[in-house]
Amino acid sequence: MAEGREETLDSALARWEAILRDGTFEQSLGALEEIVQRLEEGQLPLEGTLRCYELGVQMARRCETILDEAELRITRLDDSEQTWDDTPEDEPSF
Amino acid sequence: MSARVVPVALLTSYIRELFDGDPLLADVWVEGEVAETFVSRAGHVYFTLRDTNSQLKCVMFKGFAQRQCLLPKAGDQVAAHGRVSVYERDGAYQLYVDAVQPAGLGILALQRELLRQQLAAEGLFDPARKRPLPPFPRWIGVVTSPEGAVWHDIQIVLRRRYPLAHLILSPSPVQGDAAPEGIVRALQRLQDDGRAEVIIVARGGGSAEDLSCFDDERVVRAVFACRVPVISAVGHETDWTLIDEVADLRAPTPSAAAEMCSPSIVDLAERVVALQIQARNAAMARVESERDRFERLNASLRHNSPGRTLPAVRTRIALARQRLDEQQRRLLSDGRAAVASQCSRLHQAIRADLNRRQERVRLRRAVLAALEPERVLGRGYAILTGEGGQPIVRVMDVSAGQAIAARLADGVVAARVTGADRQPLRAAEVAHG
Repeated sequence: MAEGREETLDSALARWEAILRDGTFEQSLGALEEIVQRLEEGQLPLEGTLRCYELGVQMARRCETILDEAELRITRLDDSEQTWDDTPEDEPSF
Repeated sequence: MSARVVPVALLTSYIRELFDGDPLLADVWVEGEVAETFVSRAGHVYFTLRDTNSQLKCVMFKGFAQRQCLLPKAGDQVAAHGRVSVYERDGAYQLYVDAVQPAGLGILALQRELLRQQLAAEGLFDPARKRPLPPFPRWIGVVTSPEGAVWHDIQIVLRRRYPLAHLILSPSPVQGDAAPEGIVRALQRLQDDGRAEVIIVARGGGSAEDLSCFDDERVVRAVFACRVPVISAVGHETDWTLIDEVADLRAPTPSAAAEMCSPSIVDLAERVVALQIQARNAAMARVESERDRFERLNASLRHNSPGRTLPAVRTRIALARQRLDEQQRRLLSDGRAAVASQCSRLHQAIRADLNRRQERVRLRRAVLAALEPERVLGRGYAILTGEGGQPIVRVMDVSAGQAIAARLADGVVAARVTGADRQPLRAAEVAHG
């Protein structure tokens, strides 16, 4: 998903914004890495730079929030058909 | 026995069938001292095993011989595995060997080594088929006993290290007769569930016999067939079972397995911070470079603004004008000098010309002076004039008896013509000169 070379800034921004809404930690970290790479390449127009940076800050915050709020969850798969889960059904995506 | 005569072949094949139908003879370990080894041209190894009073002919075909670490040589004490059968041509029974191990190992170790060789020959332990682990596993399957410390340790490690994970325990007994089947089913449950991205099969330390279920062929094959990468974590670091060979990754302990399959949250947090700093630095560098560019442009703009350039232009104009003036002045003075020089040359020329003319006048004057009548009279000539004062030039101008005046250098002589003859006279010539 990180084929940044072919991707326009606009489509990358749209993709990152989607990740910012409901991406996993891995996706968020990956997006943050891509953003940094884009910024470090220095090929962006100034407005793109500022937009990327803003998204990068939000993405980093999202990563930190995920890390801060992470709590190990455990499910048990037993031989019988019934499976018990110690976490609610509507668990967050990360 | 029936009263019947049988041919040798029939009896021999009957005996062979007896041997081949015996389960003990089909799978046996025999221990003894090696004697009389011989390798055929085809690569098969023939030897004899013996002890004090007995001996056993053995043959190990090339394919088996090739996978042995240890080939039997005379004098070795070994345990050989294989089946006992009859070689009908020679009417002899012999051990068809598929594995040879040093003597003295327990039967468990021998069995395991035999299985290891078979599975290795099938390619189950091929390093090329080891799969990489996912870098950020969200779902980690664990096959172990829910009662043991192992399950507890794995949770502790992951809670501390990578609480982003979601553990799926697929419980199974990990020792005893029920263990191999239990482990196989537990692996299958995780694959049926489909969420686990990596599976840890774990057990704490124990005796070799306790761990033997992880040498079980069913377990090894189940791990080999598992669609998800498997980490084996059985016993302590020094324990090594066949599941360790077939797993995608072998962890020395269950806690180590939990660490090996997960990134550290501390590292991740540091990475996030580092990326944030990188992002800020890159963005600031970009903004700075824009600012630099702007400032360069701005400076260049100011530099080229009319307010700034006008005085410069004026100066340039003034300078140009000054140079022009100087030029003009120089040209003028050059011109004047040229004119002056021309004038003086003209003056000189005129003067020279004048001088020449004056000289010529002087010369002419001198000539003229030389030709003045008075001067001529001075040289002895006389001017004759008639009574009326008219000059007498020719003879015919006078007649005899005529009074004439002869003017000499210092006065006039009155004279009378005594004769007039038209003869060229010298006097007349003189008077003409």
